[in-house]
Amino acid sequence: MSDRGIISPADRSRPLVRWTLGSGQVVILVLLALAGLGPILWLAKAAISQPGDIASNPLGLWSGQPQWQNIETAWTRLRVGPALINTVWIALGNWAVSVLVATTGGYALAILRPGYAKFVNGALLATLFIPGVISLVPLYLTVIDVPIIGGSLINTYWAIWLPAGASAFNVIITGRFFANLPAELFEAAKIDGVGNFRMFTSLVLPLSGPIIGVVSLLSIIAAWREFLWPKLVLPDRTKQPLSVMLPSIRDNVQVNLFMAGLLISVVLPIVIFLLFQRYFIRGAGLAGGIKG
Amino acid sequence: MLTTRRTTGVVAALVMLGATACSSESGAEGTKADGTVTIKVGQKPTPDQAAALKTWTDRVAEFEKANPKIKIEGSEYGYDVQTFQADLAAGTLPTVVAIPYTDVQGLIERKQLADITDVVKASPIGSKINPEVLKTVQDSSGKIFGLPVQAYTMSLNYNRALFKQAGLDPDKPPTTWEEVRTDAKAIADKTGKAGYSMMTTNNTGGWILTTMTYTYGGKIENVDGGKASAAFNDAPMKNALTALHEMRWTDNAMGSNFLFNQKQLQQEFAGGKIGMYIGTPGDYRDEVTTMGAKGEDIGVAPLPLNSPDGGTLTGGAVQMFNPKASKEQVEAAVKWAEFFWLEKFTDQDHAVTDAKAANADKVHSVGLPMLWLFDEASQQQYNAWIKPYVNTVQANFTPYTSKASSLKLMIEPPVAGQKVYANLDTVVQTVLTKKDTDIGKLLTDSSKAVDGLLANP
Amino acid sequence: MTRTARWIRNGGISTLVFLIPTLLVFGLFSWWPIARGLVLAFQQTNLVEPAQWVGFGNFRKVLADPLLLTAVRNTAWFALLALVFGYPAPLALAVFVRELRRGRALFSVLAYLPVVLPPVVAILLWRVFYDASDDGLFNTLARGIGLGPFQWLQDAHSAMPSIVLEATWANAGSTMIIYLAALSGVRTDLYEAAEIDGASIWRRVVHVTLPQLRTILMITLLLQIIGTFQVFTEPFLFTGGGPANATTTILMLLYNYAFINGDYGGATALSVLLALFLGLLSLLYFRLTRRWGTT
Repeated sequence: MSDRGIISPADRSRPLVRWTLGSGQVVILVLLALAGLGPILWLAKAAISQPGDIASNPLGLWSGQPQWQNIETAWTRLRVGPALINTVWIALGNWAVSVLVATTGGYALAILRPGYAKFVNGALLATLFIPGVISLVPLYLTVIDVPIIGGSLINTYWAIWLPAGASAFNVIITGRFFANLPAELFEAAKIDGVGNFRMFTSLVLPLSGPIIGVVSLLSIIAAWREFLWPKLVLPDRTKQPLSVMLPSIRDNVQVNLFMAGLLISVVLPIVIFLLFQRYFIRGAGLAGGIKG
Repeated sequence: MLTTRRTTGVVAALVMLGATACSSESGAEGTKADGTVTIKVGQKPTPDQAAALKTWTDRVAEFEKANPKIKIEGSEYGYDVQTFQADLAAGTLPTVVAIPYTDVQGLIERKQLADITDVVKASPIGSKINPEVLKTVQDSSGKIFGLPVQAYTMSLNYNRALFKQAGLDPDKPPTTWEEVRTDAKAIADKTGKAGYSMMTTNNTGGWILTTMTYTYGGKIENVDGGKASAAFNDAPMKNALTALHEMRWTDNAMGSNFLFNQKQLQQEFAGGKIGMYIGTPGDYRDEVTTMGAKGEDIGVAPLPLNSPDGGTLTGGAVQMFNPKASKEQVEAAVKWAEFFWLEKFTDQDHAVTDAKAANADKVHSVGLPMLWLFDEASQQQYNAWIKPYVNTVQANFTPYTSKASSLKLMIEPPVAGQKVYANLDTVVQTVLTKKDTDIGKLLTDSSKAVDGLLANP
Repeated sequence: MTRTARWIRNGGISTLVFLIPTLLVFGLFSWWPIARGLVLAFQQTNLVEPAQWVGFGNFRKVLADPLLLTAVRNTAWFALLALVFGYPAPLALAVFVRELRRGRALFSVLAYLPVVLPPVVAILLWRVFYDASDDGLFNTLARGIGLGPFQWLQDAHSAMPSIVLEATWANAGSTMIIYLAALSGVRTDLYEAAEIDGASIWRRVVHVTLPQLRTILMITLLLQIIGTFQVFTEPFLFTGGGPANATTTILMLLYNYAFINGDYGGATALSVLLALFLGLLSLLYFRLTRRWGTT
């Protein structure tokens, strides 16, 4: 049953259908390759070209020696390397805070369910209706002068990590996942006198691999894509991630070196994507439809 | 009675707590118990400017040796019109950093600059600054809120190689806007490059349009008894925009890119794609040292003038001091700013080492035209000091330098300068990207918008 | 035994401990800013002097700003273009790929690659492609098929379509994957029935596939509109809102209010207006997802 789609096996035996399907497949594959791979390959070429070649002959295949030293120059002198490390560091922090908040919050709200859980749940749900960008300005003012704790988080990575943890979506899907775990497990544990902490570490966490995977992927990808927020809270250039630092050096450097910088910053995302493509595509199909 | 006393007690305690919190904070950040003052100085060169970074590091070491009680912490922070307000609000500005003249008066008004009157008056270099120049950083009562470290008059920068290719004489740059138009058309027709190009984004469009309007004898703002209003909805700016419109649409002599900030335009110019543009003589430095232009190809001319009342816009950089810094920090920072930015003009040893180093690593350009900050005698002396190390083609600056002293100098719009520029950006972009623009209506609308923002700056 | 003691014995404290990260992070960085934003919208402050209450002054000022109309119009124009460029293509692609017997993964990976590039990198790269001179990459390509040269970002009329084109390229992959996932849930026995009734392949798409995708199509539509009203990075990095404000979006206006002019009250007033509008859309969206979840 799952094998049949719109076109039935009977249709497929008709020459017209077969021919249309076959040629359509080739045309679409070529177009997709052009759109998906083309820019990346062009970038790779531009990154090891002379500056003049990019401007005067953008479609030329190879002209002259590949300029491998562009990559090194971009890495060290343009500081793409350190910015890459900053990006990784931001992603790691986002990941840690997101996973911590989502698992502890989800556990407390979905499994422990204290009496006031419905208020917290309501407050979490409410934030889903308010797109993040709306609180951009007040959030910035909050980070400048944090209530209770006091002081400013500007130029520290906490300014990115902590707000990244405030994702109601993550807490809610994690909670739902926990709620779907077999209830007998928790009851049996409770009868055995297992406390809330041990139940979390030895029962819930080992079972929550898949959901932690989803939350991890979402938070790490978000860290890589973010532009405006890190630009606002990290004015110190030595702390900026790639997305903030690249636009700021664009006007000062020669185009081939800049392309080398861009190339360095796409390598890791592409490699990770190709390694984990199934998770990406499954995750996008699953979460993409739900996340705002 | 009791409650009152208790409340007063609590308030007093809170005030004391606040006071100690504040002092301990500034103590921790600024002055140590042994009297060492730490200051954060902006514009530390980034690692891609290796030579400049080395000079900077050497200078810091030298300064700290001469002033053992001052510790310098470098910050790469540099003024950016897109983020300056946020950085100001967040309190992340260094103790001392350069800002353009454009912003100074507004910041003084909003009390966002430290008062450095006493420090400057007491210092040997600061007191030598030309009083006319110093006015740009003073409020109405004469208090000083910044240290001018660089000044220029706007110039017409042009590509001598393209002039030759187009059959024009590179030693005779245009002197009126009609000549600019003819030359631009010749360059575009003969070389296929942009004959004339213009900055348009991040408030630079407004900056250059202001410059053009001044050369037609126009004004941007009327300031009358503290009330400012738009003053550009008349013939001079209209003529300037008409000239642009004709070069763009009738002659097709402005190339195909119309979204340029200063650096982006410099890149294109250095790449040999632009014949002429209005900028500053100092643009030469970036263009030759980091953008790959050849020094002998760059010519610098005075602005074309289309009116006997026409003037030349001046501008420059002012070192500002963080109003949140302690008195000791501000003192140390002024000392540093004078040492790093001004002493190379007034001290022979310093001038010579600086010029020598710049000459040696060929990345800096020695001998660029500038508006002198001190008296004339000291300028001649300075020129004599650095003469052996000059590595720029002085003849290419002759059109500019020979006229420089006779120019009528104009200042930037004094009230809400950046906001006015932002508004005029749109005007310039409209003329350059919409063929059917009604310039009269465009100016009326813009004038109304500027009046609105000047009424409530 | 007191209630407190019972609460403690039943693990009340440890429950609270588990909630601390959530309460702290949401309290400080979500709930508090939202509350503060609501207050700030009625105040004027430059963060140096104490804030002043100005009633609806900020709202009046923002609504009177002629740029607001421009920004709303531009944003709506962006949304419309994004629908025209970006709505049908991923759907058609997903339906087609679903019918393939081999190579589905290859198609998905290729389509998804642009999504993997960080948006900033993609934009900076496309800015080079959009070079409006004759030697620009896209102009060279266009010349190859006898078109152009085009002005792309350098013209008040073509700037927005150029930006949308890039945004579509960058996002189409993920929309396609969503459709592909939804298509796997389409009941195939209906195809069988339609075929027996003699429906052609095209009619099966129109009368069986699309009706079953109705809800997910509505959801992606709403998501796209919600996303459009928050567009910032593309116009900011491509054109800075130019030429001649042709690409100034609502969020760029908001950014200018707050971070260039330092008018935080005006900026939050604009946020509140935008929030009301988007909140309505989100509400609609959640009703739809709930329906989708149950069917």
